[in-house]
Amino acid sequence: MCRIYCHNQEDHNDLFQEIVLQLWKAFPSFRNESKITTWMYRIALNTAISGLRKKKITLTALENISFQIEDKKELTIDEDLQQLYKAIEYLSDVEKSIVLLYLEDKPYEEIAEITGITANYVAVKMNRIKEKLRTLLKTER
Amino acid sequence: MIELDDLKNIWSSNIENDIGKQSVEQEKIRTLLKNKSTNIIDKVRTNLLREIIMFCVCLLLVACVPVYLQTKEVFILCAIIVVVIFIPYLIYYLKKYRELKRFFSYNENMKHSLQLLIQQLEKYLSIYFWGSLLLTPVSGFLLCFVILYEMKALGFLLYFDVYSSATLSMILSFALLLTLISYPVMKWYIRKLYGQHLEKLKDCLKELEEVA
Repeated sequence: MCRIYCHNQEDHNDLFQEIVLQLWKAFPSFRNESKITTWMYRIALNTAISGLRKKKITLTALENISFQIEDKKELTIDEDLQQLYKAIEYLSDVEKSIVLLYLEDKPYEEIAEITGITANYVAVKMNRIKEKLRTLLKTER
Repeated sequence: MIELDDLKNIWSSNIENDIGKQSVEQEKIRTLLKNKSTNIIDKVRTNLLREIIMFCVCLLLVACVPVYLQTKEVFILCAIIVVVIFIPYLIYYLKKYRELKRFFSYNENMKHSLQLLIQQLEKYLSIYFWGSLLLTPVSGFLLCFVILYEMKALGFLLYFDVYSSATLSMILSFALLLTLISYPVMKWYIRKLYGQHLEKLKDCLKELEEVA
């Protein structure tokens, strides 16, 4: 989450610290009404979206995510991946949260529970995001 | 061209490994918890506390004016200012401070949390704006009055009556002019302080409220 929302290491550390602090602060009010992970995502995403961060836009943070590359074929995949990460940085904060939950393999119902929109709208939003990413990737090429 | 679904597969296969690499020890968490929060509500609360301190200082200064000048008229004027402006505002500020201390919206879903946060921020910015705007003519008026009074006492303005209606109107006009000038300045400052962030939060909420 910190990687998706932050553009530099300093912001990354600040956000990580803030999420830990807010989780700690909120834990006594956890009532078992939802899954603990759903609750944790809520706190973390709310912290990430509402936080005041320095606006230094550098498109490098996500590129730094390292994946083990073993052969040449994977090297091309890695380049593609980096372009996809770059494209994700151009998404809005809400879109980023939906992408993150999608990547974490959360079902649309749970994404809806975390974001406060309907599962149908999550599906619509997801299609729009995919389309937007495709367009962004085409433009980058 | 790689798609989001491909990334999802890579993400899930690498996440376990990634978590292992970035596991945070108990001691580090303990250190993190000791640090200061950068949360927006905590920042607003700190600002509000500064405002309360500022109000208290101003209140003390206003209370000192009649002690210094020792005239009945000034005493009545300062008493009115304290009772009508300072005390209600101070009570309101303290109430707001306590409210913010208890405020926590992150347990809610993103949409509801944003609604609550925007509501709180708008309320705070409005209090901050009107509070500061109200202080400008009061401090301007009192400052002018004390300066003129002191100048007369020192013998600079021998034929000048500080209590005449003409002088008071002039001071009042000056105070109002000061308020007029400070209006756009305050608007700009508040926008610089939290306005842009508020706009960002509103945009997020708007996006979540869109009908599919």
